[in-house]
Formats: sequence, C-alpha cells, structure tokens
Amino acid sequence: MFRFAKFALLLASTSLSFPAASFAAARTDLVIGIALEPPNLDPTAGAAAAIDEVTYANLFEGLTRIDETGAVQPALAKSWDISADGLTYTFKLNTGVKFHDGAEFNADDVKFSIDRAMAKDSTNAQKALFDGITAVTVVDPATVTLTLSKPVGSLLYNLGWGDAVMVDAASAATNAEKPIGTGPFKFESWAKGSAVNLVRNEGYWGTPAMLEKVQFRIIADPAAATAALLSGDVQVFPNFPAPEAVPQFQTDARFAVAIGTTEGETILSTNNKKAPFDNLKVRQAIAMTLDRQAVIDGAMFGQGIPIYTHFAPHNPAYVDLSATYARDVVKAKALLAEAGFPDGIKATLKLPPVTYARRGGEIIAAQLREVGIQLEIIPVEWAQWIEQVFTNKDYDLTIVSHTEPNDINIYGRKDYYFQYANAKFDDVMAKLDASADPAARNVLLGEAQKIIAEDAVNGYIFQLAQTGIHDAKVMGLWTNAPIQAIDLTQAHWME
Amino acid sequence: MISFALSRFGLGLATLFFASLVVFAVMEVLPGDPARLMMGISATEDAVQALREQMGLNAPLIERYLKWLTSFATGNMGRSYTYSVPVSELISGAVGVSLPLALMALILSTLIAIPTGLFAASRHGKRADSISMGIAQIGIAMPNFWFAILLVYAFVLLPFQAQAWVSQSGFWGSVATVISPISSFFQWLKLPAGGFPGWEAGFIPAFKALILPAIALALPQAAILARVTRSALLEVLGEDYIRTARAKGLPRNIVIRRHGLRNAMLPVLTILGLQFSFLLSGTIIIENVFYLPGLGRMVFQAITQRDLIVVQSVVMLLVIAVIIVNLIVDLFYAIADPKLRRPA
Repeated sequence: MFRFAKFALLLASTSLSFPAASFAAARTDLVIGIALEPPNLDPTAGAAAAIDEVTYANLFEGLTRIDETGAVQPALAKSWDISADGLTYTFKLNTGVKFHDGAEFNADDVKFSIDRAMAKDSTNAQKALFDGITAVTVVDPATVTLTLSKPVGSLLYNLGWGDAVMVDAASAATNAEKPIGTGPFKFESWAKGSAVNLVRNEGYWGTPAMLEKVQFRIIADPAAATAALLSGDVQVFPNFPAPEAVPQFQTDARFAVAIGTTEGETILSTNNKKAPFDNLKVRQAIAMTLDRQAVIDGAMFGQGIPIYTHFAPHNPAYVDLSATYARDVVKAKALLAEAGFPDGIKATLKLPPVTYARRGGEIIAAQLREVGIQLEIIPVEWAQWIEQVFTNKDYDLTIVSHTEPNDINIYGRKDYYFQYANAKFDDVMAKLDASADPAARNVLLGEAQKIIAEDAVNGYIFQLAQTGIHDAKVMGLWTNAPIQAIDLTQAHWME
Repeated sequence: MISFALSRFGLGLATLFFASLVVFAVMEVLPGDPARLMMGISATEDAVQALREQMGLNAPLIERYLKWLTSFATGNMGRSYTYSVPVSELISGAVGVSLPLALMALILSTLIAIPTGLFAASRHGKRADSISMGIAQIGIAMPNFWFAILLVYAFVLLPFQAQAWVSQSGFWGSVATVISPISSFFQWLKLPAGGFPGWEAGFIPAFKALILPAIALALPQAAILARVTRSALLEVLGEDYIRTARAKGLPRNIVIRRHGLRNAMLPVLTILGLQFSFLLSGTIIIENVFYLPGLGRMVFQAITQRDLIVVQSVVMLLVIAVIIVNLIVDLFYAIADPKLRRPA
C-alpha cells in the first residue's frame, strides 16, 4: 500500500510538471480522423473523396487551386493569360519547384500530366474536366499554352480539381502506392486499414507548412470516432461521422465544433423517363410535399441547409428558389389527381448504405404517404446501387448526395441516371461554356438552377453539412468544403 | 495415427478446392463493378472501361478463375484492385494484427474459463456455482461490441474525466477522489481508445493497443467455455470410475483434476477449436469498434468495394486456418483420448 501511495505521488508530481512544458514551442504533430480509407493515393486515378482528402494541396498541387471560399487561386502556375477568343490559355509557371523525389517540375510535366489525363486509355475519373483541350504546348520550361477547340469558361476551375494535379512522368505509375507530388507535405508511410503518415517537405517551393508530422487515421465507427477525440488520440475530425454526439463536444471547452457546408446536394433522385415520374405534375407534387427541415432535423440532427435546386447555397451564383414549389399538401394532392392518380401511386425507393439516405428515406417515405404516394423502401449496398440504379436505371426513386463541386452540368448528360432532357437547359450550358466572365456566368448558372427547379427533375432536399470537430488549440483548418480536401497547409497549434 | 492425419489432410484439400469455387462464384454473381466503384458516379464510361481492361476484368470467367487459382497456389496472390498493392502484403499486415489478437483472447479466455468451470463444477449446486454461472450467463448475453464500448469508456475516457472531477465538491467529487489512484494509474497507462500503431512502433505500444480488444473478445468466449467445462466435468463426475476413485480414498480435488478434467477435455477442446477459428475470422465487429486493421475488417471492406482478389485470398486463407486448427484439435483428441488413435 505504501509503495502504491508513493507511485501515486510520483504520478501527481509528473502531472504538476506539465504547465512548465507548455512554455516550449507549439506542437507540430497532428492526427486527423477520417471515416473512409482512401483506396489509393493517386488523385488522378479514382473518385473516392478520401483520396483527395489526404492528398489535395498537401501532397499534390495543380496549375491552379481552389481555396476555402471555392475561388480559383494560382498554384504551380503563378499567372495566366487568356486570349480574347477564349481559345488559348498561356500559363507562367513557378520556378524552382521540385517533386518530392528531387525531380524538377517544369512545363514538360504539365504537358505530360494533362496529356496523360486526356489519353484514350486514361483512367482519370473526371476526364470530362479536360473536355475541349486540343493541345498542350511547351513554350519554354516555365511557360505552357493550352489550346481549346471551344471556349471552356470553367477551365481554370477545372484545373484546380484534385484530378488535374501535376505529376512526374517517372513516378506517375506508382503514385497510387507511393505518391510523389510537389506539395508542402511528403508521403511517409501507409499502414493499410490503419493510417497514412505524412511529413513536412523541407524543400517546399512556397510557404512551408507549420506542422512537421501529420497522420490520417481511419476510424469508420461513430462510437470509436467519439472515443478517439475524447481521449485525445485524434485531434481533428474534419468530417465527424456521428452527428448525434456533436452536442457533447459543443459543451466541452476542450473542443471546437465547426459546422460548415459542402458541395454535397442531397437529392431524391427521380427516374424522369419512368412512369409515373415522367409526368411533370407528379414530380411537382413531390416537390410540394417535401418538408426539408423535418428531414434535416430527423435524419441529420439539424445539420444541413434546405435546397430547392441542384446548387450549393454558399456559392455566389446560388439563387433562392424556395418559392417555386412551396410546401402545400392540398395542392400536391390536387396535382396528383390532375395527373391521373387520384388514388395515389405505389413506387419503390432504393436507399444506399449511408446515414443520410437510410434515415432520410424513412422520413421522406412518411411525408409522401400524406399525399398518397406509397413507397416501398429497398435498402441496397453501394455496389448494387451503382449497378441497378446508376448503370441500369432500374429504379423509381433513390436518395443520394452529389458531392462533386459545381456539378449542375450533369443535368445536360442524356444518359445520366435520372434521365432528364431539356433543350433549354442544354442551351444555357452551351452559353456557360462559352463565357469566362464571372458575372455573366453567375447569371447563366442562376438560369440553369431555375430550369431544373421548375422541371422538378429531382426532389431537392438539403445540402450536406460538414461537421468538423477539433481540439480547440488547433488553428488554420477549413470550415467549409468547397472541394473535397483536408487542406493542412495552414494548420497549426496555438502557441 | 499417420493414416488418421493423412485422411484429415486429404479432406482439408477437398474443402479448400470447394471453398475456392464457392467464393469465386459468389463474388461473380454479386452485382457491382469494381471499376465503376473505384471511379465514382461522375466518371465517363470509357474511363471505366479503360480501368476494367487494366484490372483484367474483361477476361473470360474460367480464365480468371484458373489464373487466380494457380497464382494462389504458388503464393503469389495477385494485386488488390482497389489498393493496387500485392495482396500478400495486405494480408501479412492484417494477420499481424488478427493472429496475436486471437491468441491473446484465446489464452485469456482459457485462463478464465477452465478454472471457473472447475470451480463451479466442484461446488455443484452450491451458491458459488450459481453465482459464477450467473455471471457467465451475463457474459454470454452481452454483445461483445457493446462490452467493448464499455471497456473504452471505463479504462480510457473515464480516468481523464474522473481526474477532472477530483477538485469538485459533492458526491461525484468525493467518488472521484476515492478512485483517484486507480484513475491516475490508467491515465498513466494510457491505453489507446483504438487503432493499432503497428509492431514496428515497438512491442509495448502494439501490445497495449490489443489489450482492450482482447478482453472484449475473450470474456464472452470465456463465459461459453466456462459453462461447457462445467457441464462436461459434471457429466464425467457422475461416471462409475469417479465413484471408484473416491471409494478407494482419493481426495475429491485430486479425483477432479486427475480423472475428471482430462476426460472432460474433449468437448472443451472442440469448443476451443471453434472459438479460435471464430476469433481469427469473426472479429470484424471488435476490429471496427477499435478500428484495428485486421483480417475481418479487411475482408469486409474488400467485399463492399468488390475487391475480388482480396476477398478470395483472405477467405481461402481463413479456410486454410480453420482446417489447420481443426486438424490440431483432432490430433489433440487423439492425445486426450487414446481410443481415437486406433484405426476404426
């Protein structure tokens, strides 16, 4: 007993010595929790958000980059000129830039990276980003020009995607396993199923990162994520998977909770070519029946912003269309009767295995029952969803979040799974492509939002929130996620 | 003995071949295209096709099966579709977590269960028997993932909170003060709430990461094993030779140990063998709660991503492991029961 008391005393004295230690320099290590493991670490080969979360801005950089507000900023290209006809882009590159393996970055790498992404056998998941580019020409080691066949108003933005980052010909094939980029962090190791480790790139060309060691730890289970944060094992969880545990952190002074927005439009996707959903009145009735806030409260613990079209509310081009089909159950019933379904409709609702869909689906089914739309809920896993819903279009309704930024253009794809077609919309998209002027683009984007809202293509429910929880002493993290990224270039511990 | 082992071995090979067919067929029948899953819903069709070609998914069914079977037999298991690293590398990493964890849990559960079963059986019908079996009943009823969450709370999170309460007045303040030495011990021990640093981080951190998962796995198993040990012993203790041994004047404890326990070992060994196979492959829920990169979680993740090569290889390895464990158990039977050594 005596010995134990001495031991306890020893412990007490060590804990007393902690305040003295805090005068030392701020911590330079950080453990970040992510729910899903990246399948590989090559952002140019795969669509998983987790790839970009680990690599974007940290390991790899593109000619341009997207900042926290969603705006385009220079990155490896320090400046650019656009010809008057919008068909030639000339990029001036930063000099003295080196890849992590010491290879020099220059215009040849730009040509290689873009040609590789556009190639016929390319496995770039966002190949469409490069549509319109006909040639990449090296002018000198620090200058490169892109020649287009038609004006692409969003080109600078497209080049800021993770899928358009610059890679070196020598290491491109092995980036999936051992990524080599130009970013402020270098890849160190990856224990599959467990963690990805990065260290600071001491030879970085730009402003060096403040953190020296970064670990992305994979924790999918909500209870485990909560415990990991509470115990201090993990200090940042940018996309916390347990909304129900958030109030606990909000009342705890050790943590900071930041609820931001993402590019994820969560929608009740509707098969526009399948009866009775090919009938505009039926779709309008659905739009008038949806109680978005009830879904957000019930399924997402209040986290999320209602949407009325396929567009992120934080975007400057967003227009408020909440009045297009204001909630009106009586009118919805009348519309269904007009459409020839006075006794209601029976249909299926296929739900992928994500919380927002599984929880939200139950609530939406209950709401639609009010107007006589009886939904049979069919839970599916992702592989089934992709095969049945996405590829074979064998579905009536489904719930899914479209997380790609600025993806309203999917409404122009004729074979896309919700099977929408409207020449007026295509016309607006064509004009949008031809315009590089931000103000004009915003007007066109507003028109596009209005067309699909009026056509009630899908049931628009809410913008997915990003609930970030971190140690209150960690600074410099993004609150919003205008692009799939966990940008650590500014992250640091408060002194 | 040799022919016994050989016939078991042959049976094992046949099981293995059959399992390979079933696994391959099931993964083929399941809907879902691994290439499309990788590329996401906004990828264009030709990019997905390019990836399918690269993955070798366009080859005919039989060709892919044979290719996989031959490469598996030579130890080269191919590359994972999603991770694009050799499967053998993935598996060896996961085995490095799952095998020590299963062994720790097995040893722990045996150490708890057999003495408990022995104790309960030797006090059959008395209060000690009903109390220990009552506790075992709770152990069986308790889902291990829930127990795991409780363990994390009690040994990782609570010590920190309790230390913060010490200075407070009122009931919880005084409770915290009383348990302060315990909570500061666990604060000092600092068991992780989950995760696995890898064996390369040193033995102590890796071992510490496996302690709570091993307890969470072991206790429910121990509860079952204790009950089996008790009932097997009770059955044996009713036999004539036990009465004979007692009649010739041997003390009760020695009778139980020498004549009872050894004869009661057969059902206990059977359960132990089954439990080890379960611990090796069925730890997926515990691996999720503690986010350990073990075999169970790997195979689960691979199934959702339709990573055919990984699923097939892991399942085959697990089948091999189960066959080997059963073989070992069979051999132990023969040691425990000399009657089984003679050819039938």
